[in-house]
Amino acid sequence: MVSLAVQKLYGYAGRILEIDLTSKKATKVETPRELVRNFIGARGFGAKILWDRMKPGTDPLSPESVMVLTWSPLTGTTAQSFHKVYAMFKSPLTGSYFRSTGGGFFAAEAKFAGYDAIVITGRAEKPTYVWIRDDEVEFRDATRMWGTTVDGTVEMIREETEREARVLAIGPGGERLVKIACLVSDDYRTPGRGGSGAVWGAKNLKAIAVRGTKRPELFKPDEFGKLVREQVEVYKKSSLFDPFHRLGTNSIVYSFYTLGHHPTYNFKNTELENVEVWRPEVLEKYVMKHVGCFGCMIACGKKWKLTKGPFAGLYHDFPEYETHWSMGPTCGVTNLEAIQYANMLCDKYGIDTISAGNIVGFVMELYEKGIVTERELDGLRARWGDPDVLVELVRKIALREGVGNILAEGTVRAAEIIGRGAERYAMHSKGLELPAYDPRAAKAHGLSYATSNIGGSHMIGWNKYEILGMPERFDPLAVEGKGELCKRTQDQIAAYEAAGWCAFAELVQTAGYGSVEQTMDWIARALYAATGIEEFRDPRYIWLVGERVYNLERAFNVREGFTRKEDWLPERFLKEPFPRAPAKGQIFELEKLLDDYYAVRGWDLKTGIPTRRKLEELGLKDVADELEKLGKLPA
Amino acid sequence: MKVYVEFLGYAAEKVGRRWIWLEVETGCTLGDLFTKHLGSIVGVELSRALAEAFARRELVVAVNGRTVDSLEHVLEDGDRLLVFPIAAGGA
Repeated sequence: MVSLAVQKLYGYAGRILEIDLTSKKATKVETPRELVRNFIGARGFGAKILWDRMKPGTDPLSPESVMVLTWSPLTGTTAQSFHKVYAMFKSPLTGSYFRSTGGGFFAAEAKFAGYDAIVITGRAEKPTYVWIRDDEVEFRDATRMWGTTVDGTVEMIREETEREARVLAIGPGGERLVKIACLVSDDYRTPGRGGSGAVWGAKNLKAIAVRGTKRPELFKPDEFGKLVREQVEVYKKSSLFDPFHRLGTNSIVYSFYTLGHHPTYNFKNTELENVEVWRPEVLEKYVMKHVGCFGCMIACGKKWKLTKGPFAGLYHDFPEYETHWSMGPTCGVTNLEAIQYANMLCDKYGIDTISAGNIVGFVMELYEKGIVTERELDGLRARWGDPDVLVELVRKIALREGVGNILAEGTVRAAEIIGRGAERYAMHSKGLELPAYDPRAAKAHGLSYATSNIGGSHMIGWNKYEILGMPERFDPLAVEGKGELCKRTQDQIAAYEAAGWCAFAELVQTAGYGSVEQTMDWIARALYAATGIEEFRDPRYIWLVGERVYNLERAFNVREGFTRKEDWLPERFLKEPFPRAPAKGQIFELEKLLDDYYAVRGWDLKTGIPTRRKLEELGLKDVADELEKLGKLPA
Repeated sequence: MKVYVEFLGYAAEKVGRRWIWLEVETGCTLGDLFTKHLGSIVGVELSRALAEAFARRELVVAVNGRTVDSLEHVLEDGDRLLVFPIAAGGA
């Protein structure tokens, strides 16, 4: 066993806060050195703590369910874009391991309060919020704000605590255990996917508010300062910086449509009339203000103002790329004002915009096919493209009103309840509603949808090589070599997410350097200068941690009973050829791609389970032992 | 033969129009399109700057929805080109 070169924990806050809502006890424990060295932080911490603490088969909505909120040794420093809060939990939507992440200021503030992570367990007797002021942790009555939207909750909590408090809260969606409910920050950044809001709702936890006055101490502050200056220069010269700053993810809606990544009409089609409304110069007209997260000069967030139509006067955080798609093309809707209004409802009620829009598209296809009728939809004629139906269904889902009570369970469970072949039109993987990319038009990206440990997520393996052709181009339609490309991307994301970074920032920096290797080398140097931990100096070690985290997450799912058969995509992609250029005639070659991927991963081909050899190679012998004990390890 | 070229973002701003039909010779490459044909309309300097931005991978060119990575790419009659600054999407 290699010992830590430096005993003092530089960069880290040095403590983990454990909150037990049942007993109203807050415990501070020292951040374990082994955890630090083996998992770095953020997603790495979450994966390990969840593996250790969550018994297999635990109901995600039970008091025994554990949620871990984490950030990293670089959070709260001057390094750019390490502002993310990571939420790791067992998802009530998918029954799998889940990692969800959002930006804003909460993570930095929690680090300033002196914590590297918050571990939440138990269930409060009545609605509660937790107020953290440096070392002081209070469990406070949230009865007053229960039933209130996120913005109202933040307002009331700030009245009772401090104006500058940073807040993560649930809205009425989480309270009602809507399976697509999420956590929302005071500035509408959301760890959005997988039902984190329902986990809090089940715990009677309305919010966590935090204020901190400490600052992390760095191992080599001068060296670290130099690295940050290098980062800022690379950002400035990056070709991605300007588009991201000017219009955020909105800059690519129209171009991704052209590239064939943009499914329409519940993935039935890939074409849409009037798609020109998503041209950048049209979207730019709505932008009133640029907003950013803690310590990020990209400031990709935008505030939109609506001046015409039935929603005139609305001023709110803009819809991101995925939200434009989920509320727009997948429902056949091209009314930007209605999309923005539905987006605002999701933010205030606290539900995931991607899943919400995907569910509305699902309902519209069921209505078109005659599987559900106006009567079952509380009198709604769910025709493609109707903006009023979009807004009304989003509201009903968030409040579990009428048919919304069924839809709030997510597409898979809703399809089971509806029956009559509805499951054929549920566009998901492992129960997580699919986002805005067609797997047939980018095979490694599609393979990541199918194999992702959290289900149909675009962020677990966002494939820049295929989608943008950067830093080098891979033919998105080719099948050969896609196992390797998918693994490489998933591992890199897991690695920089263990360092607590933002995916957009990685793209900006990689475009600036022109190489992934240089970006990973910079991360290694920054981690070492911040922490002094010898292993972090070597970028190959950072990659290894990425693969370690990815395999541990996989092991969590294996322990929950997941195997190859859950690495799946809807029949539509496997049998219906893609209808237009550029991917005309393409289907998704699932089985062939899975074989290739498992072989590259060193996982058992038959079951998709990591082998003992692979787990031991990654320093996860204890994980292999436990899987073997449970009879889950392939022979 | 004719090709259709559409511009987005700063490419549209610099060129001053959103789309353009261009009459090009058979065997015309993407490089020829930038230097010869586009140059005669938007000016040689700007068309060269666009070609260089493409070579540095700051501008993406998709031909009929597929990104291309070389100025040697040979165009065909009726091709639809989209020229846009590189950017990325997420939640």
